[in-house]
Amino acid sequence: MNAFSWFVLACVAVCTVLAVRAIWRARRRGGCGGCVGGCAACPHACGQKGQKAE
Amino acid sequence: MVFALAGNQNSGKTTLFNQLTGSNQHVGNFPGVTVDKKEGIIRDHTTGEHHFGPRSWGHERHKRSEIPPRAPATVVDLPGIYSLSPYTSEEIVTRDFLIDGKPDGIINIVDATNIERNLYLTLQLIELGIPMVIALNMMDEMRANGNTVDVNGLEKELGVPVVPISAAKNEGIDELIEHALRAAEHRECPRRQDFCSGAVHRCIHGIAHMIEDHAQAAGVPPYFAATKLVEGDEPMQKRLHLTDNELDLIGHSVTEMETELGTDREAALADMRYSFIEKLCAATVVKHGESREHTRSVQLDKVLTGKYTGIPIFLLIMLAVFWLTFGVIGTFLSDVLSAGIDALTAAVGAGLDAYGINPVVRSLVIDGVFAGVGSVLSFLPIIVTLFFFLSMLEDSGYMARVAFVMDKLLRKIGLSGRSFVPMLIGFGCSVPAIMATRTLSSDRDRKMTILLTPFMSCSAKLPIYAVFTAAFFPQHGALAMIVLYVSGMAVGVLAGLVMKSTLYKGNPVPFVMELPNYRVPSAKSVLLLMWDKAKDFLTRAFTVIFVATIIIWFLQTFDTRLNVVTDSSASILAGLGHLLAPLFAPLGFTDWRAATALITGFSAKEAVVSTMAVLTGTNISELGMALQGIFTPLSAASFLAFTLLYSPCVAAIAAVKREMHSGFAAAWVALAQCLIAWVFAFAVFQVGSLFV
Ligand SMILES: Nc1nc2c(ncn2[C@@H]2O[C@H](COP(=O)(O)OP(=O)(O)OP(=O)(O)O)[C@@H](O)[C@H]2O)c(=O)[nH]1
Ligand SMILES: [Mg+2]
Repeated sequence: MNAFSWFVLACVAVCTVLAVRAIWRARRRGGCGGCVGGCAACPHACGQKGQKAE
Repeated sequence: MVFALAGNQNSGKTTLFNQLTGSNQHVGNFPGVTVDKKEGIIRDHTTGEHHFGPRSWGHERHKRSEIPPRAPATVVDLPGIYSLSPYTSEEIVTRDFLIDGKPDGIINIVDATNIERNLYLTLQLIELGIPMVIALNMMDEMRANGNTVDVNGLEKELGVPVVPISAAKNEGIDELIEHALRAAEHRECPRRQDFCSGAVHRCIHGIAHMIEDHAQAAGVPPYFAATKLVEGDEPMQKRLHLTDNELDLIGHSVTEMETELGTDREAALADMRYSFIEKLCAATVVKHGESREHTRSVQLDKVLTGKYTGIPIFLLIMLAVFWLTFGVIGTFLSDVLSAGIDALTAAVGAGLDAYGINPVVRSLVIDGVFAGVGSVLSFLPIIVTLFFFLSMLEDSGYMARVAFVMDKLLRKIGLSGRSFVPMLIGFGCSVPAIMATRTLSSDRDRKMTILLTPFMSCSAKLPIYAVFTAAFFPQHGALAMIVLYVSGMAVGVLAGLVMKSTLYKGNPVPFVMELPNYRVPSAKSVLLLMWDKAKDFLTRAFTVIFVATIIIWFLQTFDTRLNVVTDSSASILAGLGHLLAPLFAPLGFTDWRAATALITGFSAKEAVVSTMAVLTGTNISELGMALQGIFTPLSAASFLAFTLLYSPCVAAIAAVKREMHSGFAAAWVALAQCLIAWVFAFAVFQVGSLFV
């Protein structure tokens, strides 16, 4: 495997870590947090833009 | 400093909250949009300067020098209430916050076009003895109709500052903030608490003196506590820890008042408040007949909620929305986007090859990430288009009518029109839909609605339907969609009937909902909603779907000894899939890839599509072809039937658990849905086999 392959692999790994962290945070935030960053259809969009959601 | 935003439903609280804080919470021309409290910081406000919150676009435009330094003030948006004797769980949220949250001030929003009914709550809020400002909202509509309110007169009679505003047009907000801050800083409590005379007056005062110590110990204003006791409010009785002797005395003076007035306790208080309001409005409000908006609404309603026309028109509108979304606009845009994604994938593939990349890493990027995330991403336009139409319908005020029209039908399965709202939201996503059941006042209605919401096919399933209909029933795309959605609802109705006669016997509560006037949908709220949907869809694509894709790619590329497999049917995943495949054999799809896709759909429904893309090693435009190798049209139909009904995703199950306070219920939902789906798909396949 050449250096470039390692580099791409590392990029994917970093992205995965970021994605998992985002999911984990959304879950912990509660509210609509079951879905990441609100939800594809959440009209009661929650916990966004620095607002504290219950 | 904390301010509470309190007011009737649909009076514009959230619109004002958004103006004050620069956030973009959901606003809709529909009573009961907000079901939970939301907190935000009041930003420096300069009238008319921002049309969108600066925070959401990333460039702050503060003018620090002009604003005297003040501690940041927080506002809390609350669900709308009509009185402080709440019935539904979202109304309890509001009452609890007002009484126990100890806000420094209340901003009471009064819809000037409905001032009599709105002031009913105002009189009760005044009793709380918290600094308060009245924001007289919708003044733009009043003005357009040539109606006027004598603000000074109102202020004098009520003893609290009144500021005319238009939250939607961003008028008068600065003045409102000034007044609110001043009232809270100087702790200017309402100058008057007592709006009654005669028997009611004597009764409330007598009780107020008697319970003063208890009230102070319990942290509620004595006058407010006394009024609640006269109303017969049980939570208040418990809260004050009254002795039997005192309860007797209270009962006695209430009975005395009742006999003197010849009405019961609640009616006596309502009477007292309404006669005060009537007098007040006669002196301060000038109305020239019905407002234009109201006359127009009444005329439109004759047709749109008519006995014979209501339901057909609703169906026609929904047909048009579906046809436009799936037949015309959304599909076209999706095709364009998927062509773009394919081109990008090809370019990236060529780029990676040029640098001599390792084939396994290349497969991870191209067959994994790009195929998986890309396949889901290309459905973004369909979802945004669908919600464009739905938010237009909601903001115009039509959805409130639909709830009204649907009431009769829902009653047949033991629910009321109120339940329609959560179900409608369920077409978007089950999670907020389940939360929206908080607007239902009876526990029975609420639980039943929660259990039925997953039958409304959520928008995350759209990509699945779109891929399969495009591959197998290309001529009848919109029709297939409608069949899917309708059969979901039909099975829901059946389930409802079963629940009605077993688990949840009894009758739904009567349905009362205020029908708001029709309004032209505001471009801002429609655009904001579309943007929110798009953003959330993208977030999901790049988080849940991304992770699911990588896991699937990994499991299908390696075997149990972590060697790269040449044929994915020797992979770990195939091994797992083979275990499950027999379960689905009676449903017509024996391929292990179908079984695996269904399992990943558990994390998020879009993952069914991304998994299929990864497992067949194709990009989105060829996915249809690849699927034709796995399914026959009949087994595809049975697969669709299964995806339509099987267990909701993890997030929705968690929401069921939260809202029903029962892990058992959540597990039961997941299991029962899978069973129903299996039976339904089995029926589709077996009956279909007779014909094909
Ligand atoms: N013409 C006019 N319309 C307004 C004004 N303020 C709000 N609206 C509209 O009134 C409707 C209700 O607004 P919301 O802010 O959702 O009301 P709410 O009080 O939060 O309602 P709930 O959350 O359901 O209790 C929306 O359609 C707004 O666009 C105003 O000043 N003038
Ligand atoms: Mg609201």
